[in-house]
Amino acid sequence: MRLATLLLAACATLATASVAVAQRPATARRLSTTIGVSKGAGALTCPFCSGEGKGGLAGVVGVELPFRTGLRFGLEGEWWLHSGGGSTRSVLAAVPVVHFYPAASGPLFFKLGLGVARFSASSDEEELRSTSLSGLVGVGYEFRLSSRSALIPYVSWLNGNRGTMRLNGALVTDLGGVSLLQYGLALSKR
Amino acid sequence: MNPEILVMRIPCQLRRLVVLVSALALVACLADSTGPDASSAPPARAFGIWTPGVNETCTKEQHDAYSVVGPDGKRYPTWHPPTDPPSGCTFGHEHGRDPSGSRLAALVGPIPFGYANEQLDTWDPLNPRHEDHFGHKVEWENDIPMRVDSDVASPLFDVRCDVMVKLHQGTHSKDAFTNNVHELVYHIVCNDGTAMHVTMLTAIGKPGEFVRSCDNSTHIAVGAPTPLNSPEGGGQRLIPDRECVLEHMLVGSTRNSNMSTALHESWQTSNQVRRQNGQSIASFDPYFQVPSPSRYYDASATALVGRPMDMCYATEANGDRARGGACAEATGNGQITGITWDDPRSPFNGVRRKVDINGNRISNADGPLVWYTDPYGRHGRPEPFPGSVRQVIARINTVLNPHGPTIGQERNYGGPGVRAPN
Repeated sequence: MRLATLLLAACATLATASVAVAQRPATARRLSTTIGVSKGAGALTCPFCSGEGKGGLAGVVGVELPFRTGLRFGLEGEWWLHSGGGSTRSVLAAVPVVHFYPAASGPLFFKLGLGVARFSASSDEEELRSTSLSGLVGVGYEFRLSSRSALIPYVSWLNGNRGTMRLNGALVTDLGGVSLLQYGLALSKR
Repeated sequence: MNPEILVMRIPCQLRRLVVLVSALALVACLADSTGPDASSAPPARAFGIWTPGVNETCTKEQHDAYSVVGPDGKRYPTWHPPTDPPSGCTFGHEHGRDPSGSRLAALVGPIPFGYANEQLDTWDPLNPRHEDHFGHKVEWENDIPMRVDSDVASPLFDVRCDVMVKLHQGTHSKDAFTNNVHELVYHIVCNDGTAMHVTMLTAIGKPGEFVRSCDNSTHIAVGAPTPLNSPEGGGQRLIPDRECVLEHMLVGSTRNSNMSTALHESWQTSNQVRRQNGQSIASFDPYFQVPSPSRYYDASATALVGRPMDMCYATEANGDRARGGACAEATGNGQITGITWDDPRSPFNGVRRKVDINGNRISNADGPLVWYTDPYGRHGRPEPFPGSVRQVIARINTVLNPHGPTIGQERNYGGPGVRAPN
């Protein structure tokens, strides 16, 4: 919860600044890059999985290009890491995304994406992997820091299923999946 | 908001759906386990072999009404309660847990007792193996949480299984001293796709001998088994003998009898269903335990059988005798005399049992769902042959190999009139 508190404080501080962002500057037409760090909870999913989500450090790296007014296309990489109990669990995903701005010049945007995600749990002796087609939904709010940069609190949820799950290379099920919820703060540069 | 809680919700709805779909997929394959009206079917060897003793109030006809037609069209005995519900009469024996409560009962129907034994008559007519009626014991549990074969994967999974088993485990006679071949029916359906419906004669340990239960190591050779060509199986039959009774049941005045060590039986099976070429299709190894059998092996006794109840009244030359525990309760600390081994008041009647489900492995991803094996679970082929037994095994290779816990230990199948032989 410490990260969540920090995020809220950051949002409050930046609220005044955001009011000033009445219009999207001309630089919005350029390629933007985004790096975010968040708290996340990842889980392996399948019909016989516990579905237990474990907290950990997560994040996002992305590039976006404007497509038309209020729409941006991009590619995001999402990640999550958790260590404990003698094993390391991680999620890695590559997801083409669309950012949709309900108000073309406003700071609020929603994102949708469809890509590939992999959940991995490993120890020195074993490795469990589940790779699946995954959907991504999210929402963010751009607090303009300057004409070329913005701070973006965001929430996103990545979910995949019907993927291949293997334990030490042997097929466990074709109904494997992954779930990753993350909320954090991203820095976007244009 | 706790993100962990949100993530947990996703797979839960899918779980029951997958189990349901798996179950429905197997229904068609199992549908021929019941047949036409039982009363017109020819009797199997196992049918009609029970007759009431002086203590039983049910008639043979009432007993034989509990029957089912097997896949071969013959009439077999099946599970019945120890007391006949319509009439209230007593049968004096029990067959374990009522299978109708098992989710698998709807899938597989009533279990025909002695079906694998009957098929052996055809497969190997010179070496038959028939068993008595009392020993058929059913145990089951729904939605059992299982362990999996991986430290990394274990905390990530919630593998659950429905299990129903029936072993012929007679613990009242000399049969198991020499005979390692007993009928086993094993049904298991798990949410990870593991599913087996196997009926076989399982060979438990070596024929002609058993292992002394109180030391878990001494092999006691007794005599020729039935059938003479009984295969040597994995596992072992732990059975008490007179040494166990003398050492742990008859004790000095400074301590109480240790009945659980003196009389415990554990039949530890190791079962494989194999293809014609010997390759394993499925394997499983449940252990069947009985804490209070009505017999122990006594080489000096008539028919080699000693009776724990008799030992409640025995005193060794040095003064050692049964003290405390079941003997004290049954005899009112020695005030009640004359309780015989087959008296309903005897606590040594085998009505408490437990089953360790243990491991389950399938290597059948490239095989058919339905196999036909000989009665010992060997020579599996996709098509039936004389004396074959139909086995249904999921078309998967298990990786997690779910291991089950112990079931049934909290139950007591005793009831009015239930007594040894049971």
